[in-house]
Amino acid sequence: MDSLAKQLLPADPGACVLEVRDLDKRLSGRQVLEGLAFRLQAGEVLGFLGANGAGKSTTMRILLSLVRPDRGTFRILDQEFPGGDRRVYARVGALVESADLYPHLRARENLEILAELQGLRDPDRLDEVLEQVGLADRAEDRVRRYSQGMRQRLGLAQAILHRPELLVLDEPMNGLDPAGMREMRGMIRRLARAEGMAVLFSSHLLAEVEQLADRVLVIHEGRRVACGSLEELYLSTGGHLWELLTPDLEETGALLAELLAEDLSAAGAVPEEAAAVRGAASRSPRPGCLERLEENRGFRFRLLSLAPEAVTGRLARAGLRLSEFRRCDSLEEFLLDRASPGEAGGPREC
Amino acid sequence: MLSLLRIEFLKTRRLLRTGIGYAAILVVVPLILLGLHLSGRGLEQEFLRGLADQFFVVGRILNGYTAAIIVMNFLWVHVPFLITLVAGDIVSGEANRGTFRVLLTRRPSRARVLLAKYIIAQAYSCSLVFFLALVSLGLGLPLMGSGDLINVGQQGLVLLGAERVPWHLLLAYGLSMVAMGTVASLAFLLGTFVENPIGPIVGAMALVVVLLAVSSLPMDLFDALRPWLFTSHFDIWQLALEDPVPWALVLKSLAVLLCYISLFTGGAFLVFCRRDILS
Repeated sequence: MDSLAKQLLPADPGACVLEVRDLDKRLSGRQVLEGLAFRLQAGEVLGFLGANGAGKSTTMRILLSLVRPDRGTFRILDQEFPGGDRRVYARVGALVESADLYPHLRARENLEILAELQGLRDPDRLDEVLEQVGLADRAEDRVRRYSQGMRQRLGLAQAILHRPELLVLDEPMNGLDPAGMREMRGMIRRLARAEGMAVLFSSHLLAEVEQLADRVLVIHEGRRVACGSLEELYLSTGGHLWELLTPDLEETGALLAELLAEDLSAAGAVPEEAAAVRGAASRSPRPGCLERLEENRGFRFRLLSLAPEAVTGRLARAGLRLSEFRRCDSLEEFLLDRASPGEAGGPREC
Repeated sequence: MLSLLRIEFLKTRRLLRTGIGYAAILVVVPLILLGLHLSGRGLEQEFLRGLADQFFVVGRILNGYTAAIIVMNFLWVHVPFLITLVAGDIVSGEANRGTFRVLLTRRPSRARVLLAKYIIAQAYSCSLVFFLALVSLGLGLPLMGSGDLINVGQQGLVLLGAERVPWHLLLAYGLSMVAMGTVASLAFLLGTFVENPIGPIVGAMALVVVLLAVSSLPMDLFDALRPWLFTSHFDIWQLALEDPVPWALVLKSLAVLLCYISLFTGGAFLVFCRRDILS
């Protein structure tokens, strides 16, 4: 380790490892990023979401100094970029898109090269990491003989080889089979929890993000749409989303409409057009709106302050049957609602 | 820096295309030498027939040294192509494979990474010329023996005594390393612009061929341009075989070549250190 690395102590749990401020970038005449800002703390896993071309990869490339921002700055540990001391990258691990290493070299040789570039002189660490990613028995194979999934594992190995404090992973699940995805998920979680790494990862697999991320950053057309825990994100759309299936469709609909109007009033919202039962289910109903599910199986709606038990109680008292009543918040709903083309968080009618 | 150089050396050494240059020399040069050895007598007589009126030649003029010069003359357009295979690929190949995403997210700066690559590209170019010398002389001398070197220089026929030939040859190969270094720098520069190694390899060769044509075409139009083209100084090594060596001309050619090397290298650093890595 060089002098800079010696001077710097490992980031305390909860300390800010990465801070991004007002990043702007234009590529090929298109505004790819616009005023993007966020923070990441030690031990935290931040999921980075957005549609194709939203600017996720560009953001990650800027953070890794592969691309220069037109405007804005970012801080990695105690170094301010652009212009910071590059030696701080000895404390950053990265896997950007596919893990393309040198195909004509053996896996171990690839790791040896990259370890040397980071100033790592611990031969045992190579074996440890190869074991960790499940490639110990294929370490002497040339990378050109590896499958896509094995390359991705090797990519993760090179990213964590030097025990970084900040791990930047762009689509780390690419090319992995379900078992590989589960292993990768476990590994990322372990790195964050046990080793206190701050992890920024992007994925188009929303289920992965839901299972892995402590917080989620959503961008759309280069602009930040939302950032927070999943709970905060779901609530920001106007309460949790519920799905209720019933054979008594009309009576239940009428009762639910009343309940939602009450819920809106209790929450201080204006019940304008509230509780209007819509014929076709939209992807994400607004608070106070009741949406009919396909094939008239039931309804979807959001609850602001009303407890779900209050809903089931009222239905039971009215003698209405209930087949299923469940919370159905999902990142997919959130993204379709907030980060779809033309719907970047703008107002929608009920 | 030493680590970077060691790493670049390892990566380059293990690439198939690095071996192509050495393999080509190892195949072509022995063939030329064998051809000279078997049918050299006829060539020799033809050459001497023109000199018979003015000179009385005793013994053979075709020896290992003469053969090495003939090999140099034969291969002088082909060696640059072999050099561009590596120098054009060393930067653009990384972009093509997507390995810059791994290499440039480490702590060494881009300038240091590029410097290591540049040193290896130049070392490869020099090693190829050295290998050409090694094979030419290593096979030519045992096969055809040593002796005086007769060469057609700028002022006419030049006769170098056997004891002085190695020093002149050493200088000739040294100067040719500078000429080939210019080609390596050009391919290296082109490699910083693109993400596919074919572009810099073909581009550098195309430029060399076009400029060689301009350098050798006896047209007034190009007269003013010719002294400033790097290809006009490719044959700088032939000046080393004059007696005495025309140092003023050597220094002038060296200055032109070194200017081009500086220009190409500076351009490569300027482009690469500012470029967005999107591959």
